[in-house]
Amino acid sequence: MRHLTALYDAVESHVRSRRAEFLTLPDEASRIGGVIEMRSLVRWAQELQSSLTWVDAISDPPLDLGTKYFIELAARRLITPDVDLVLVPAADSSYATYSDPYRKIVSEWGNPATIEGDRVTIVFLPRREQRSALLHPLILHELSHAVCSDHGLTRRALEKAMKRKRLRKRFGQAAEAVKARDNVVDQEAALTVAAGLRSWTEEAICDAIASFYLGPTYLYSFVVEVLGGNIDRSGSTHPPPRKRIALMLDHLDSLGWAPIMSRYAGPLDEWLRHSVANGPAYSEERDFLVWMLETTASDLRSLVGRQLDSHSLTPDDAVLEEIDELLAAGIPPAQSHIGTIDPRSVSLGCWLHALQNAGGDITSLPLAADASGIEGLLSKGLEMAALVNAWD
Amino acid sequence: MPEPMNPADIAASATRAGFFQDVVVAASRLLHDEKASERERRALRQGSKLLRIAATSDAVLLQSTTQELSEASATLAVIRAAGTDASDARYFQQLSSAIQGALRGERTDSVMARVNMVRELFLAVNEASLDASIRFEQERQSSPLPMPVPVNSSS
Repeated sequence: MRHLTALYDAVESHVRSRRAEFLTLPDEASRIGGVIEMRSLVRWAQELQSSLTWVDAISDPPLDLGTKYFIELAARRLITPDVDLVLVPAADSSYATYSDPYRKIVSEWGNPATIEGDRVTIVFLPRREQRSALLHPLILHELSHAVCSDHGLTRRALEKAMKRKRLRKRFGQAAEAVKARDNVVDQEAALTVAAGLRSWTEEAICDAIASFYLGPTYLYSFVVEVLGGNIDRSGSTHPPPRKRIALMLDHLDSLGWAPIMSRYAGPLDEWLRHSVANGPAYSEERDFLVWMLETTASDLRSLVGRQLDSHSLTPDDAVLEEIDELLAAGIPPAQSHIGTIDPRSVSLGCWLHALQNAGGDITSLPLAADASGIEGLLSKGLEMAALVNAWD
Repeated sequence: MPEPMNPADIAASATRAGFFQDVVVAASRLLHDEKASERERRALRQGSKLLRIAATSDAVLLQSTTQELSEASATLAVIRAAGTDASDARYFQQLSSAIQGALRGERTDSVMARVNMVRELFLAVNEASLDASIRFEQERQSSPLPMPVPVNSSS
């Protein structure tokens, strides 16, 4: 509420000061500009008003308690310890995050001291997947955008990439291809490629953060989400899923997850590796952007590894086996015989158990994600693990 | 009913409209030999940087922020729509240099002519941005399919 009050105070203050300034405008052109700006403000005030509806979600959270604890813990570890997380069910089909949505207006137009020290992150999840506990790890990718923004990861990755001569040369070639295809001038073509490179780099970093933090859990959730569509379809802001899966597999291999993935869901693992090894060739700037992702993958991995440090999840056979036994007995996995269980292992253990029970091949992915029994155990396991960890 | 926009994006658009207007007013003050406020002078310097970005076609663009890239793209699109010869990178460099010169106190005919062009340019960009956002909103409201929620990528 403090943010909303600060927001409205800021808007009022801004409009009042602009009105005073408009009285001193020197000529007709400036006055026409003033009218344009006022029309813009009306337009954006209307938009802002409609955006407030999701604030209702604060009093009616869409996730079960276990998942809520799970996501909050991740946000505190990865973004900042005192982050305020708001989870919002959306009619949309994709996950998304807004970081400190009102800070910009309050800082520029109002009194930033009123919200100083606050850190608000809004996470949207598709309403239809509100009860799909095994897919909620996808939220980690969204939180990672806030990590990128707060810790300057995208900027650092691009600065490093810029030092590569070959990358700079291929950037120019990609811009030439865009220029010829879209019939635009040099600068527009270069801007298109630069914007794509920036977006794709950040998406790759977010996937890497989620993979480092969650292990194979994120990969499985991601593949379920993209499997129904064309895995080679890329956008101006997102790389093709096939390439994203390839990078995630590389990250997981580097962290030592391959034996576990193979043991619990061998056929699925083989299918994924075969799929990413047999992708199509991409054209024009997409070819450059895919090449860029491959070329800078190891740099991104190092960057994310340093950023997450001890928050990377490491493979632990014994814990996963114990979780598997608990789940087979219908017991929510929250505590092992050696002590507490990391909630991330609970999430992964549930995925591996569900995959194994569904056959461990590619068709087991959607079956596992839809298995209602495992979702109840996961939700309760996360909730109890959070309590046990807090108690410990 | 489409999902609402990110309030941070709304804020960015609203402050962008203010920034474009500040450039227009600052240029007008230079043309009328009036004293510009510090904020207006800052907007002019930012405007000069934006024009430099718009004059660039190599990988140095990667050093620009998402917002700068987006503003430079919008500027270029408007100039193209207006039929100005945007293929000549020198055009933007000259406008950018004219701003720098005017801020240093230069008042030659050529500098002032280009300051005038800067003013017209940013006035047109502001109006075109507003029209585009209204068109986008109308399409969004009438779309039978859910629109993608903008993913946070501010940097």
